[in-house]
Amino acid sequence: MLAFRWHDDAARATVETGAFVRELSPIGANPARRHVLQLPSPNRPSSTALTVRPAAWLGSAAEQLARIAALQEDWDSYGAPPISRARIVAACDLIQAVADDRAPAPTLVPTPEGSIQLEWHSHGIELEVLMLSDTEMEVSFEDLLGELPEYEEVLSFDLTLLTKYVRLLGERAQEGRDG
Amino acid sequence: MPQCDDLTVSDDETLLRRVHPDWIIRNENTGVTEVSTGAFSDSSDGTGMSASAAGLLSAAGMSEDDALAGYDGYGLVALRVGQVRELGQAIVRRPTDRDPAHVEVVGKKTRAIKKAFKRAAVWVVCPP
Repeated sequence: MLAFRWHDDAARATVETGAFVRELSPIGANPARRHVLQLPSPNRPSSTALTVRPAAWLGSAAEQLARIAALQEDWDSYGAPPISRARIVAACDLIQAVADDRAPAPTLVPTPEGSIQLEWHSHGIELEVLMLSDTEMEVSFEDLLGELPEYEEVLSFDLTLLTKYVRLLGERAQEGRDG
Repeated sequence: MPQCDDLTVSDDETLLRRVHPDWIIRNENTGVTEVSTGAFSDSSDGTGMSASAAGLLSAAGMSEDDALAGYDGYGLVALRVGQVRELGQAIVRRPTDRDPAHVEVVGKKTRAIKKAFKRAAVWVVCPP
């Protein structure tokens, strides 16, 4: 599992993986299994903790989120701002909502606008999710095997379709089907 | 105010765009290393997508290597101006102290256009 947390008592934040988490702190019941990554100081600390259910790739997601959160002004060499804290939390929240242990890990990509894009390119599926705001995401889906129609839309709170796509990825990964 | 396409930058000109390491994606469907669509966005301040025009670089006595100087780990991709214009984008010269060949690719970048950029992009330097 993975938890992304701003600390009120210190100017730092952590991404943690390990035992199951449902509260702000303490994180996890087995510290020895935690995977803790220090992030740079947020400007406005707040108490936000998000968790996702177990999936083999959550450690990878945590590392990617930590790396993205550490990006500094002009990280892309063209003047991009640091990635929005709200988008990082939103991405973490989304991962929590759609995580499927059978599916491959998403690649998390920072964007020049200061947001995050989640991408899957495997098992015949091309899936990209761009966090547009705290509540909206742009979803692009293409099934190279032709079982599901192409889809491109902005979604808000209903993650049914996105969950379906990630589940399909998981099913194909489990069956060993490639594109 | 709409910005005019600078037609003194010819369709045959090559645009070079640096690729941050996080934009380099391994596509398991195709088996190739490619650039994320996330790389092809306008700047957060509302200005167009930055690039360097290879011909202008050359005219300034610089090379592709100069486009990557000081950016260890970054890649470099090329887009042809003609392809960019076919996608409804305009080229605007915006020279800077550091990059006299700097241009902006101006125009709405829908997901379809970002995907088209991704397909059209050719690696000049792809980090290992």
